[in-house]
Amino acid sequence: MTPTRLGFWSRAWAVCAKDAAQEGKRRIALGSILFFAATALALVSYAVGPFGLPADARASLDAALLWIILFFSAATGLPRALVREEETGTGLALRAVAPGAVVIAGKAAFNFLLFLAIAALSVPTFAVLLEWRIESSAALVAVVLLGGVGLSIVSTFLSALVARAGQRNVLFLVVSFPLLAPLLLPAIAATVAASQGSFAAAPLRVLVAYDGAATCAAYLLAGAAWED
Amino acid sequence: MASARIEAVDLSKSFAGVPLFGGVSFLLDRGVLAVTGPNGSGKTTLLKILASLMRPSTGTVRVESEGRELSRDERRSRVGWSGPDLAFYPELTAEQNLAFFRRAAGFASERHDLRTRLAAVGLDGSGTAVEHFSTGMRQRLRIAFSFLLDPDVVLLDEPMAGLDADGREAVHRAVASAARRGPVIAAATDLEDLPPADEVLEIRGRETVSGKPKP
Repeated sequence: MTPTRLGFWSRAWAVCAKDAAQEGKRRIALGSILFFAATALALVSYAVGPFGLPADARASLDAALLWIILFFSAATGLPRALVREEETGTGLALRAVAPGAVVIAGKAAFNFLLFLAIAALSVPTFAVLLEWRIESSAALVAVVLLGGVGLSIVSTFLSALVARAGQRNVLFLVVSFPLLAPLLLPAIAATVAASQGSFAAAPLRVLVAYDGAATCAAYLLAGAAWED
Repeated sequence: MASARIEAVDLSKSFAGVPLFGGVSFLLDRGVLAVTGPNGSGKTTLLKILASLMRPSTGTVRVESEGRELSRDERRSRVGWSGPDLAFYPELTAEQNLAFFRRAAGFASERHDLRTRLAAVGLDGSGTAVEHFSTGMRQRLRIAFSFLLDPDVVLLDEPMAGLDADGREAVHRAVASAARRGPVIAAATDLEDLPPADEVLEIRGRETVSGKPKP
C-alpha cells in the first residue's frame, strides 16, 4: 500500500518547525539578532536622540534608521538557518530527502517568524528611545509585514547561494545590498508616511510587487541555489 | 519495496580537471553489489552520484521502479543513502531526527513506527540528544536513515564503520532483507568490511573491474 504523501506546505512547515525546535534549544540566531539590535538601538538613541536634530528632519531620518537596524539585525541572524546546515553537515541529509523549494520555503517561513519577533521588540523600543511618534500604526504594521516577507525570502535564498562558499558572511552582505535596496527604499518611504499618519499606496504597491517577484524567483531557482 | 533497478552508464568524475574515476557501468536489479577500492579512489563520490547528491562529469544514472524511470525528485524517496559524512541535528533526539526527515520527505511519521525502525538498529527512543551519541550509535542512526523511507534502492557507504558485533549483525540483517527485494550497493575499502555481496566492482584509478566475490 502506498503511504499518503504530505503536500509542499506540510513539508516546508516541517522544516520551519524543526528550525524553531533547534532555535528553542540553542537560541543562537535570536541571541545574535537581539544583541545587534540592542547595541544599534542604544547607539542610535545616544547619537541622534531626541535632542540631536530639528523635528522636521526627524521623520525621514527615523524611518531610515529603523530600517537600517532591521536590515542589519536580519543580516546578522537570518542567513544562519542554511549556513548552520552546512556547518553541522546536516545539509547533505536534507538534500537527500527534500527538494530545494521545500527547504527554502520552510527556512524563509522560520526567518519571517524570527523577523517578526525582532520587529516586535525593536520597533517599540526604537519609538520609546527616540521619542518617535507613529500616527498610523496600521500603516506601519503593513510596511513591517511586507518588508519582512521580502527580507526573509531574499535573505534565505541568498544564504542558500552562499552557504557553501568561503567568507560567506561578507559575501552575503555584499550580495544582499543591491538585491535588498529596492525593498528598503520603498519600505523607508512608506514608514515616513506611516509616521505622518498616511497610508502611502505607491511604496506599498512596490513592496507587494517585490515580495511577489522574490517569491517566484526563489521558488524557480531554489533547486539551483541549494542542490547543485 | 517495488521491483526496481539501478543502472550506471559510463560514469566518470573529475575535480578541477583531475580525474577521480571513469568508465563505471553496471546494471543491478536485485542483490548486493560491493564497491571496493583504496582510499581516495572515489567510492564515496560514486555513491553520492548514484544517490543524486552530486552530478557526474560524464555518464548517466537511471533508476527504474515498476518499469518506469524515476525523476531526480522521485529518487529522493525511492533511493536510500547513508555515508560517513551524513550528520544529524545534534540538539534533537534520534527519534526527532528521523521524524523530521520523514516529514521533510513528504511522509507522515508515527512514534511507534519510528521506534520500531530505531530498535531494528539497536537504538531506543530515549530522550538522549544525538550530540551525546557515541560513534557507533551515530552509525546505527545512519543505517536507520538509509532505510527510513522504505526505498527501492539502498546505497550504503562504509556501513560497518564504528559498529560493534551487534551493530554489524543488524546491518547484515537489514541488507539481506533489502537485497531479496531490490538492489543494494555497499562501499568500503575492503570486502571484509561489507555484508556478503553477490557482485564486486573494484575501482582502481581510472579503470574499474567487476566480477564475483572470491570465496
